[in-house]
Amino acid sequence: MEENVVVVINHEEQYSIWPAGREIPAGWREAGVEGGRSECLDHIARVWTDLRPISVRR
Amino acid sequence: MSAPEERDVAGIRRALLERKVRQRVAEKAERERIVPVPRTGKMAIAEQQRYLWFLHQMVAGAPVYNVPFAMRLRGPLDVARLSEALRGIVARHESLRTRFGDEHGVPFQTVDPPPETWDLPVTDGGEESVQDWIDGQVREEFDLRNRPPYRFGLMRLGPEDHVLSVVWHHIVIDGWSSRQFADELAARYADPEGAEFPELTLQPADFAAWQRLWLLSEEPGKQIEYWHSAVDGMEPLEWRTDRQRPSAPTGAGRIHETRLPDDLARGIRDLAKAEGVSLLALTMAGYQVLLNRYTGQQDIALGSVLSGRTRSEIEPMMGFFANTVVVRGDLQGNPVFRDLAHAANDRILEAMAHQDVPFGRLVEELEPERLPGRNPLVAHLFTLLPEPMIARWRLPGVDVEMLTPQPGTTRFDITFQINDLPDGGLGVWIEYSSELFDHERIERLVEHFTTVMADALSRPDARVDSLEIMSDDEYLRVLTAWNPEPGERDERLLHELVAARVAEAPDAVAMRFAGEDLTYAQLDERSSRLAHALVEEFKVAPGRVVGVLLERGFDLPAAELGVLKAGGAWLPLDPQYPPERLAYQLGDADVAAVVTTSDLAGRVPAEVGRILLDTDVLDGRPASPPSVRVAQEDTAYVIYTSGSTGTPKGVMVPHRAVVNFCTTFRRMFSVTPDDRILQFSNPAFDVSVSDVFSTLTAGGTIVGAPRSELLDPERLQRLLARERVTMVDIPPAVLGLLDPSALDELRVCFIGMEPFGADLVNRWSRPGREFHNGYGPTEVTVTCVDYLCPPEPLDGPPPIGRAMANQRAYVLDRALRPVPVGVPGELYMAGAGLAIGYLGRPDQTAEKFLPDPFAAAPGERMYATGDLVRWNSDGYLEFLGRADRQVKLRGLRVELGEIEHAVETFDGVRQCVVTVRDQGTSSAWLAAYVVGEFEQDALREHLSGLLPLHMVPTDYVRLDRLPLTSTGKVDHARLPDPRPGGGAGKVEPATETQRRVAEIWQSLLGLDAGSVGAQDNFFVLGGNSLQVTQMISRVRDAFQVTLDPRRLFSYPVLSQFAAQIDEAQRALLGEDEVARLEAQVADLSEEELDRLLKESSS
Repeated sequence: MEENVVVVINHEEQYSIWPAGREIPAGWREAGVEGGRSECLDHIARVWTDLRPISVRR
Repeated sequence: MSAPEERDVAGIRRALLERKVRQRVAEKAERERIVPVPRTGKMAIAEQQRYLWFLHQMVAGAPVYNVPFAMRLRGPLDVARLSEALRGIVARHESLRTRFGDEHGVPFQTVDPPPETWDLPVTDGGEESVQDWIDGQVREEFDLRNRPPYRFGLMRLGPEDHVLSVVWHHIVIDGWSSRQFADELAARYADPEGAEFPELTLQPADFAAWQRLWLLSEEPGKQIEYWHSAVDGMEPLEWRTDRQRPSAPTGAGRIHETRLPDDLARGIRDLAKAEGVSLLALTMAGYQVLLNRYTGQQDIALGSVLSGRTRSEIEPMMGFFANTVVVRGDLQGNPVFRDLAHAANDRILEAMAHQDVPFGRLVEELEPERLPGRNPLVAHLFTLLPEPMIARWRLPGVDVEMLTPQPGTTRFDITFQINDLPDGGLGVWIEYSSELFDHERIERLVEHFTTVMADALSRPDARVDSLEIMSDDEYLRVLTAWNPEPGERDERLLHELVAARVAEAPDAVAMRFAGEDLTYAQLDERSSRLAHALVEEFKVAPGRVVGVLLERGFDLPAAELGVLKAGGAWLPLDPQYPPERLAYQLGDADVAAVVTTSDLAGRVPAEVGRILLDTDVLDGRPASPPSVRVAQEDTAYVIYTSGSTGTPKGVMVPHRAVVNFCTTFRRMFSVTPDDRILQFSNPAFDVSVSDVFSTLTAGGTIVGAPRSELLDPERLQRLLARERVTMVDIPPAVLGLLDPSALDELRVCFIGMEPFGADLVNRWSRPGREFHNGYGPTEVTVTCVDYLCPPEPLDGPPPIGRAMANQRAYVLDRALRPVPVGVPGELYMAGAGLAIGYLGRPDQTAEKFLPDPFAAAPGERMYATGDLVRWNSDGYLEFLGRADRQVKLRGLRVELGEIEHAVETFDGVRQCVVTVRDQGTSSAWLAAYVVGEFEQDALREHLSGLLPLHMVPTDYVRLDRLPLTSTGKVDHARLPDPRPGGGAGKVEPATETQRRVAEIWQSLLGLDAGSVGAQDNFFVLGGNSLQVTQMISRVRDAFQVTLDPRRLFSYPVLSQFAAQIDEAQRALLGEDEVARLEAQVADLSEEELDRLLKESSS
């Protein structure tokens, strides 16, 4: 059984996933999507269009 | 009036029935009672003893089953009285007067009369000889056939200072009996005349006779049925050992004794009482949690020893009745600790109700997969020695201090025993295999057990997953102490570091190639001109990628530097790539242009822009760099790596990461402008980034050469000497082909990419030359973990070390928690070396680059390397293999990479891939695909010496080359079927020896005549360890040679085993005799041969 994860995002607007229900590491916040691993990664594939940290995006 | 009479009749009937039932039960009980049997020369032995007798044969004289007690006796000791007390015990208990023989592999017992002469051996000794003496007492072999099964001895240290050693063979006495022995000794010593002991009407031989009948009754069937369901689907416990399990273990072991803290012991007792569970159940639940963390398994199966005293008649007997049972813990679904303890209690009660089936019989009935060198069913015990079973050695007037003799052996991988001490404390007694485990590991096991029990006691309603097994100290050690302190980072860009060197020494040589020099100034000018061309003609800017498709030479560093100066990221492309791969990468990276030469330009797809460096395209462009704004987080280069999915992914490495690497490199190796560093690596791999930019940022000289020169060991050797190379980063296989003696200037060997052994290091390491083992995935920039090998010779492969400057290494379990020292976990890397991610693949980036929960700064990420590692006790990481190449083979976890590596160590083998066939079935087997020249039997023999037998591949397929996918990975789908006919099929026995062995196996295993072939495996055919001795005995009858039973475990395949017999027969005759016979046979004519063969086979 696949455990649920949440989509998280940091100050550089880099995305990642984190086990649902676990305390989210400092500097990261939930992006409002929770579900199966592949579901969350699919979501990230759609919304994270520029992989560069926000500080160097121009 | 009739009704009461009827009632009376009914009542009478009922009473009659009751009486009959009672009588029958009594008769039945009478029949089932243990009764004395006549003493004859060859009496049956109990099943427990039969199994132990068999094991005794297997350990070939090692004192594995010798049970020692040793104690220091201070005070006035009456030696004669002590001796007489011992004699009294031996006279009273037959078990101590029993010898064991065998006929056709079936053991029997003989009871001797009480000894006529008696002598307690007394030796003189000093303080320093005590441990050696008690160890020597236990280590001496018992000759069970001809001599008594005990050994008593006294060492005199002084008039009132003695050491008593009492040793017996486990086949006659168990833990319960040792208490009796101690009590009886105390009573006899205290009052030699007055001590009275009831006469023993029953002795172990009577039990053995009774047990034979019992085993024929219906009861064992019911118990066995329980065990069948109890172990159904059981997963063997796979605790990763500190050292590789030898294929023929010697059983070497050690004993570790300690005590749990008293307050913890009290807490355990209190909670057990409050919950109504046994001490064994509560402590075992804690141990199950621990093993779950160590192994990642949810099915924790442990052996446990029960007293076997299920009948009152046995209680006064001194003998061996104890029995091992299996207790499983189920941690699936993350239960709360309290429930786990209750479940353990229930399982233990069930086991107790079904403990009469002897373990050896159970093994025969359950037919578990037999693995050489491993205990069947369970190799790991957790047991409790209850207070009434703890021997209390007391002699009036003498102070007794217990000592710990070291038999130097072990029965199981680990036996973790809790001793329920009379003083209310809890002792811990551990016997472990010193071949498998380090002493530190065992100490940590106790530490972790203490931590998890303390946490569980404080919150028994916590889910087991949340319980702590590591102390705060250990957390700090693995997360912080063993990672470098954060240091200063250089905040410049990669090309700015090079520019600084240009300014310092423009005429210094940046690169040597084919006898020519390229100066820093020339490099700087050429790269600046290229940068202008890229910016002006292809609009290159930060974030854009430029392909670099060049042969080795001066243009390569110039092109890479030029792309950086233009603000872009270079993508190195190997001219040897197949066109599809090239086209794929160029398209995937959406390159702005490709920097190449005329002869290679044809490989670039027509629609992609290009700059040809061998034309006049750079002429007239400015020699100073264009002005572009680049940040440290901008990508410096993109390198493609093959992912697990098979599609290569472009790793984007920012200036920050590569600058951190280069500055770390310079500091680690104290690189100066005098250093000459070999550029060996393929420019499409990131080690080349180190070769080029670690050198240029330090002002040193790159030593390059054409591919053909680098790949020819002799020419490479000459190149290194001629160019006086000071540092190399080359694959271990290449280094192994070179001669260290003539390379005096070589001061750094930075070796990595694949594991290597101690030999290489010992050959190359010397004063004035550092040998480093480097590790790093492309995603963490060339190398992120490093180990500097010590100057003294290594005796095993070096670890990969610790994180390099400004980086952090974490070893985590699947729930992303740090694992303790010694426990395998996945390596995660964090810090300055991390890549941006995978070009155009946000989902895969998010999956592999996770939030770092341990970072000091918020919002950092950590990269999941997919590599399995563990911390060793010195705080260095050991590489264990890929996390995703672990497969299950008949329930055992097998590292395919480990097998491949072992195959590749065989002379003549160049490459190897191992796959599992019929995976998930009980007949799963391994196939090795091997590129190179090898002889199959010799290779198999070689592997048997390196790997546990279940990891030695069954089939070997020779290939000219491994089939590769377009991305250069092994194409598993295109590996040929090793058994195209379907199944191994039967190989007819080829020699007379093979035929006769086949007959023996058939009759012993109850198989059809003619069904066993030359390639059949004794254990796969269903042979169990108890049948091994019978088989050896039949082989002795048939061939007149006696083979060590362990041979069969090393050579379980019929043809191999038959060859062992042939060899033994030849050895018996001696070389000369065999040579004479060979000469005779050589002289025979064909007709004579025919005739003789017919005669001998009829």
